[in-house]
Amino acid sequence: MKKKGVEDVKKSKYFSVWDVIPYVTVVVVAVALLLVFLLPEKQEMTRFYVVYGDTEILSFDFDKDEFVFTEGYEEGIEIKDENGGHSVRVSTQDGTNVFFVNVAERSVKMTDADCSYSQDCTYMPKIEKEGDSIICVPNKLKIIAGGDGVSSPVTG
Amino acid sequence: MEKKRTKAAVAAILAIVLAVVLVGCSLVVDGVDVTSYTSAQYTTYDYFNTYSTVACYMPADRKDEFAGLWEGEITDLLRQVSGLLSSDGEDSDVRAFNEAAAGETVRIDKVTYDALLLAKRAYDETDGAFNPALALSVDLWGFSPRFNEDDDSLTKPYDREDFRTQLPDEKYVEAFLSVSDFSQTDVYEEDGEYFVAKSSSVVVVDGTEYTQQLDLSGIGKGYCADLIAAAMKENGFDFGYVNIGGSSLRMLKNARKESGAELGEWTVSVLSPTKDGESYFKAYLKDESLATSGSYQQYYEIGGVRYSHILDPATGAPYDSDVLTASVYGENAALCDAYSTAFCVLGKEKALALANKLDGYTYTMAVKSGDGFVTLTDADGKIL
Repeated sequence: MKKKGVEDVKKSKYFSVWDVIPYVTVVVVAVALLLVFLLPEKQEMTRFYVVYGDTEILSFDFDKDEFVFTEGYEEGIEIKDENGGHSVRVSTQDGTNVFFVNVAERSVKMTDADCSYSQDCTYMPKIEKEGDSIICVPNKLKIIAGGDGVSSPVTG
Repeated sequence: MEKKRTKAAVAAILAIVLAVVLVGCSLVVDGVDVTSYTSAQYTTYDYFNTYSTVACYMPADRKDEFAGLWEGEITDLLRQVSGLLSSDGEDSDVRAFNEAAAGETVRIDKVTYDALLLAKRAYDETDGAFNPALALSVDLWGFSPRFNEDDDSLTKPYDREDFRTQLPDEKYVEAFLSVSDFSQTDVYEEDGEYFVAKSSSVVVVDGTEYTQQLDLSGIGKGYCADLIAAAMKENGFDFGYVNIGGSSLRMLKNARKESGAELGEWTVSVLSPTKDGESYFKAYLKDESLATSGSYQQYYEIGGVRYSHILDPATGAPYDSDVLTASVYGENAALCDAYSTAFCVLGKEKALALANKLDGYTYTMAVKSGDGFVTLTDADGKIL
């Protein structure tokens, strides 16, 4: 090879800047798709809401550590700050339920109810992921972790 | 020239990688791309004295259609089945049977007929360990629906001031057991109509006559879950589940990938009989039913003895076996309901023998061991 030819090859870069852009784009798209589709579908809950019958009567935002009351239901709801969270007592025409909101853990657990002798709802696991729920049948009260997902069922 | 060929090769490889990634990121379950499916979940408290939840994943443009199915056909099924099989509904076939005289024949709906045939099958397969003809005993021990109401008035000759502190009189236990032979109850079809002929057994206690009474709550919820799931599938909704009371579930397919489960499978947490709010088993289910029975939720204790809502057909009293809870998985939710009850009543050894006979059904059992329990299972899942 002539000397000029050797110098041309040395000057020539295998990838130019414009060559790299498509490769980077592919990698970014691939990573984004992996994040969207392959990570666990259920996310940590960011809020939950309490439904009495068909009516949402209370919600809580974990990011803001803030309750939002539905007009007309404030009097039946009592909130106490304790153990790094909130103990919430909800009284309706059908009965009273008490649940604990663990703010750090982002979970909710039914702790007491006057619903029936067996108090099934207090045996339900704490809810932590979007779509999870706790149901108290006699008192028609449901606590639902916010989100569009479907909760995985619990049996017992 | 060589440089151009190399670039072309690299581009081709990247295109293939991208294609593979894109395909891999799609969620395809049994040939259906569910990546963009949306969800809906409805709950009602109006039937079976418990909650009924129906969950569904579907294409976004079918969400209104599913809402219509819930408000229409699904709610109608809940109303119809709950009404026919409850013991106190106005149009209840079970109530008509219970009010009939010994030996009388009662015309029933096809729904009740099918449920009774399943009950008959379960009764035979479990050698009577599942027995829906124990309604009198269930009432005697304080576990019928009337005890969930606020009214504490004593309405039956055998009622106690407080059934949670006073055991029933043994003469009633024996008397009610004597009219509970479900094999004497005949279920049949004739000219397109359906009938149940009541056992002719009668027992008299303190001047009051008692005949056989049915309680189909042990099979009704599962039966209804099966009908709702079938309605969903007929309407093209193949992803979701039906959950009646947490004890009777009919799973379809899952449109989301869950940790530990195969694509399309649901993870169902089975509650521990000894630790509140904790699970002891995770079952992975797809197009399969599940039912759970146990002694750890509906019970009362007198003198340190636990009296569960599940009665032993051999004694007419709350069961007392080493099985704290049993879950059964298989095609038919109604039969899962019946089998899980039978597993508790039979105890570990006989339950395992029954499990070997039940083709297509698997189980999980928590069996007493010391102060805790051991988990026995042949089901697809994970012991926690």
